[in-house]
Formats: sequence, C-alpha cells, structure tokens
Amino acid sequence: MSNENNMKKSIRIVVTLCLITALVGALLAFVNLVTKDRIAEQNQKAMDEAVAVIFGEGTTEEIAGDYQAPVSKVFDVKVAGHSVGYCVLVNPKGYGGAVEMMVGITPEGAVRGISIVSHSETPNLGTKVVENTSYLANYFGKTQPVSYGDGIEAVSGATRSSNAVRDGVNAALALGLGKKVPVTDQEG
Amino acid sequence: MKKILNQFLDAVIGQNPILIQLLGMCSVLAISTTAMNAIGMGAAVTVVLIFSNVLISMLRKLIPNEIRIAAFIVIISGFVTAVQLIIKAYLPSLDKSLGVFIPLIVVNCIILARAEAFASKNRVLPSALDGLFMGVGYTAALLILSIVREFVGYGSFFGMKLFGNKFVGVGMLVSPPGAFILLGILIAVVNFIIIKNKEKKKSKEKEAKLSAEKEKEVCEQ
Amino acid sequence: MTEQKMLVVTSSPHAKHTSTTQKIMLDVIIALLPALGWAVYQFGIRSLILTVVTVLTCMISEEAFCRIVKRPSSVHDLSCVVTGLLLAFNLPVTIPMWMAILGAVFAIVVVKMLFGGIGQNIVNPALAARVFMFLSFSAYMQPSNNLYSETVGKLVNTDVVASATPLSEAVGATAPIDLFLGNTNGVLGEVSALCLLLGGVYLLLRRVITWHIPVAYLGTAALISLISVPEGASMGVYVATQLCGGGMMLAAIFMATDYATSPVTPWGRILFGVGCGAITMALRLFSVNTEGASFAILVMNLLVYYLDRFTMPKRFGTRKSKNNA
Repeated sequence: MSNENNMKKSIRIVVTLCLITALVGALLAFVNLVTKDRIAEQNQKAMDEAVAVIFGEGTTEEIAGDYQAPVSKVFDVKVAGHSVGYCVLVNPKGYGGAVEMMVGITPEGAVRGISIVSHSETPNLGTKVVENTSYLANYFGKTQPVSYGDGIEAVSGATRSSNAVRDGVNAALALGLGKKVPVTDQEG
Repeated sequence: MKKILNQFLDAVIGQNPILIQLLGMCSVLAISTTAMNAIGMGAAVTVVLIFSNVLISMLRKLIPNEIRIAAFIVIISGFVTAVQLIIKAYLPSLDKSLGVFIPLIVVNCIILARAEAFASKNRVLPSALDGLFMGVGYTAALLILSIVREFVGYGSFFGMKLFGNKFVGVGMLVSPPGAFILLGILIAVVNFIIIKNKEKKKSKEKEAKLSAEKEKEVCEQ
Repeated sequence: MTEQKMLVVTSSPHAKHTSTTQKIMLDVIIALLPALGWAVYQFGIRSLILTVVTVLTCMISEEAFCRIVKRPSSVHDLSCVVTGLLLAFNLPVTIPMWMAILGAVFAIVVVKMLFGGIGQNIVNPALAARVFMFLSFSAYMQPSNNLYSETVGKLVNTDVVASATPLSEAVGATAPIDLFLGNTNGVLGEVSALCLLLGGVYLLLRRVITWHIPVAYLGTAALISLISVPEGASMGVYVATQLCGGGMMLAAIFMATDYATSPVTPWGRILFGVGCGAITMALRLFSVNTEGASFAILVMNLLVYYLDRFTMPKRFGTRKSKNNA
C-alpha cells in the first residue's frame, strides 16, 4: 500500500517538475524568438561603432580562428570590397575586470587606433588611461609589441589600467596581422 | 483599500528588503553606483518579483511540497533570463552597466524569500501586489544609496554633472567597500528613526493607559 | 544613570580614568613633536597648517558627534588630537585641504565614534582614514617630487605620467643616512627616522608603550629584508633603506602601538608586531602599492581579539580546559 502511495507521489513530483520546466522553457523560447535578431543587431552596432571610431567607415567581416586570450575576435575591415585594415577585439585584464577594447591595425601591420568598447576601471584613476584619447594615441603607429620605456609609460596611480591597454595592444600586434597572410590558414 | 495601503507601507518601510530584511545585498553593493543603474536594476528585480510571485501563487496547489524550492528556482530563473534577453535587445547600455548582475537576480534572496514566504501561501492578486511593493521597497533603498554614491563619487545627479569637469570624487565610495560603509550608515539611520518612532508610540500608549487608569481610579473613588 | 550600576565588560583599555587617558595622550603628542618640527623644516609652513587643520577637524567632529547623539563629550581626553596628528603625518604636504578635512571627519565619525568612541574602535582611526583617502584620491596621496609647497596648485592638476616605483626598486636612490635623518621626500611624518625614534624612546621611558610591538615589527621586517636582498645590492644599505624608508618607523612606533587596537598580552603584542612586519614586507615586495604599512596594521588590528584570546595567561591554579582552546 505505502509503496504504491510512494510511487504515486514520485510520479507526481516528476510530472509537475517536468511541466513547470516545460512551461518556463516555452516562455524562454518565445522571448528568445522575439529578441534574437534585435540582440544580434545591437551587438553588431556596438562593434560597428568601435570600428567607426578607428576607421571612420567600412564594414566588418569576422575572420574565424582559434585565438588565445586576451584576443577574442578579429575582423577584416572593408570599404567598397577592399580591405583597409583589421580590427582586433581584445579583453585584457585591468584593475576592475576585463577592459574590452578594439585595436585597429593598418594593412601594413601598425596600430591605427584604439577604441574602448567597455571597461569598469576606477573613475579619476583608471579612466585617466582608458578614457584619455591622447594617452591611447601614444600607441598609434607601433608595429612591434611594446614595453614601457620606449616612448610609452604607465600613468602613475593607474598602473594596472595602463598594463591592460599595453597587454591588449601587444596581443593584437602579436597576431602579426598585415605583415603576412592573416592567421587563418587557407590550406587545401 | 486600507489593507492594501498597509501592505504597501509594511513592504516598503516596515519590511524593506534591503534595509530591514538585509536580503540580496551583493548586487546592491555592486550596482548602486549611479541612480540610473539603480532604477534599471530595481525595475528588473520588480518585474521578476511580480511575475514569479504570480506564477508561483497560481501553481501553489500544484507544486508538491518536496520540490517546491526547485520549482521556484526554475520559474525565477526563467523570468530572469527573459528579462535579461529583453534588456539586451532594447536597452544595451543598461545591459552593459549592470553586466553580470542581471543573471545574478536568480540567486537574489529577495525573490526566493517572497516566493517561499508569501506567494506560495496567498492568492494571486495579493501575491502580485506583494511582488510590486517589495520591488518598490528594493528600488527605493537602492535609489537612496545610489543617489548618495553618484553625488559623492561622480558629482552628478542622474547623470547630470553638477560641478563641471574639475570635480574630484571620493573614489572609495564608488567602490563596493565604500558602498558597504554607506549602506551600514543608511541602515543605522533607518533603524534609529524606526526605534524612535516606536518609543514615541509606546510612551504615548503608556501615557494614555496611565491617564485612563487614573480616570478609572477617580471614577471608582 | 542606570548604566553605572551594571558591570560593564569591554575590551581594553580597562577602567582608565579620563585624566590618565589625557596624560597618556599628552605624552604621545609630545613624542610626535620632533617629527612635526622636522616636517615643518622640510616641507614648509603648509605642513603645519595642514596638521592644525586635521587636528581641529578631529576635535570639532568628535565634539559635534557627542552632542548630536547626546553622549558626554570626550574631546578633553586628547585622543582625537593624537588621531588628527597621526592623520596629518600620513598625508603628503600637497594634499588639498578639503581632502584632509574629509579624511579627519571619516577617521573620527566613521571609524571611531560610530563604533562607540575611544577604546571601542576596532581599527586605528588615522590609518583607516589614510587608507580611505588613498583609495579615494590616490593621485593626490602620492608625495610629489617637489619638496616644497610653492607649487601645490600646479602639481595636483597635472597628470604625472610615470611608472610606479615600489620601495624595493627605489633602493639606492636615496642614501640610508638621508632616510635616517629625514633628508628625503614622503608624507609629513614619516621622513625622519631619527625624530620618530626620539619620540619612541620618550614613550618607552614614560612607559606609555612597551618594547614588544616596535621591536617585533622592525625585527621581522629586517629579517625578511635580509632574506630578500636583491642581487648586486649591498646588504646593509638594503636593510637600512627598508627600515628607514617609507612609513615603517612611524607605523611601528606610533600606529601599531595604539592602545585600543593592539593586544594587551606581551605575547599577543609580539605576534601582532611580527604579523605587521611580515605583511608590510610582503606588500612592499609583491604589490603595486608603494607602502604596505597601513594595510598591514589594519589587517592585524582585526586580529587583535584572537591574539589576545590565544595568548591570555593561565590563571594561577587552573588548567586550560580542553574545549576552551
């Protein structure tokens, strides 16, 4: 008797939980359907804005590949079908978490521009690095990974934020874009 | 009507989720840096609270006691994810500033606490109201804290710069440890006011009692 | 008052009459005077103004707090003056006045009075305020390279672009003898090891402090710097620089020995000093922040309760019970 009761109870538990999960799943599927395109659009917009800061205009085409952190994505920037350079999305570690930034590389392999997509550095300190366009401009034109001393120094009081920018730029330069065939192998 | 008003006052002041119940403090410390963040986060939490309360109240007789927590969590996380997707799609800047704290609403104790303590025992309409009122209470406390932090940290009010660009903010109060100190002070002040009020009420009651007793005595004599 | 009827059990200091507290604090103030004099000589008159401002702010905010919450005023015990002095000693001469005032208010109201006033605070008010200011205005808390205060306005408005120089790398930049005498740059009170030592000797002679904490602190730091001498550096110069440079002396003699926030048992004090020295050196060697002394003492402040508990001497004739570990 009690066994049968237990059985019934277990079945009820399983069925209810399944039903609830299915209900919530259906709700999520619906919301996802409605918002999917719009989210992709927003993401694209954020990328485009960062690219526009560096290149002014152009469309991006992602170059797929297995990149090592902090590099997350590499884009080929094209104007009217011609490549005008590359954009590397990097997220090096700063003081308040990852600093997501776009590093623009010219076809010759030099830094063309840096634009910070998002960051959570300390106001009045880390922001002296990541929101300071004239400081970031120090990196423009570099073709080799840099270390402090050759014309670029860390901003005092914001060493970790400065390191983040340096690491990001260096990671982007280390890909060797522009100097030879882009990283993706076109083999067979 | 009076009942609803009482429920409202109780939720927002008497049982304020942040200041009295001290629930869900993690996100409070992290996101109360600007007033806009507070409103965004408050709205997100309120929406999740209302919907999860309603659904849980609707299903309260269906959910077996043994798995109620699991069922609650599934429902709550469903709504949180839905809210997250909607914010991502329509308010990308809010999504950026709130970041990981939107998905973390799932583990915000306020929502589970209300599901367990209220929605699973009450009918749908009161549960919806409870969600709304608790959400308002949460938002109100969050807003007070973040207005203070935004003012001292960035010298601005709802994003408007009040002192120009030369303003040097008190950086520590922008960081979570500073929020911790400020929140402690805020809680102390609120408790102080509440205790003072209670004392006043008590002494009034005492006086009333005393005078009533005196009258009684006089009458008896 | 009904309170007086109850037996009040509190942490140290125990049952000190206010006049005694006042005398002790007066001794501490006297001990701090040589270093203050040196600061005025080294950094100019602004350092004196800065000190007066922090001291006055501390006194006023303590008095104001006592009045608001209707507690008996505790300003006359002079502990707030010591807090103000020590806070000023931890600031660079170039700091804007309003920041110094804010720091002083934080020290007294948040760190000291909100926890119950003198003897009840769990961390050193002056140090907590220094850390608060360091985290809030870190660019302004760096001692500038210009020794004198004429350029105050200019210095704080330019973004000095320079790499961080941890103390461990700065060895050799200033000769140890200059660090000892105070012929160097830094925050107001830390520059002259000699003046601080003079004050320390005075406090020891007056029995205001015991030798345990300063000796354990400096000894541990010296030991750790002995093991960590970098290649090519002279051992003596390196160790002397570590001990005399930065805020180590000020911290060991005046900050770590604060009554309310240090252990009462001798062994507790020694452990406290060892912990402070070890953490200070660890922060100096491995962290990006230039000075670790304040963080070290704050961390150890939080452990005082446990240090006291574990080093409590056995009562005569009793045995430690097993579950009382």
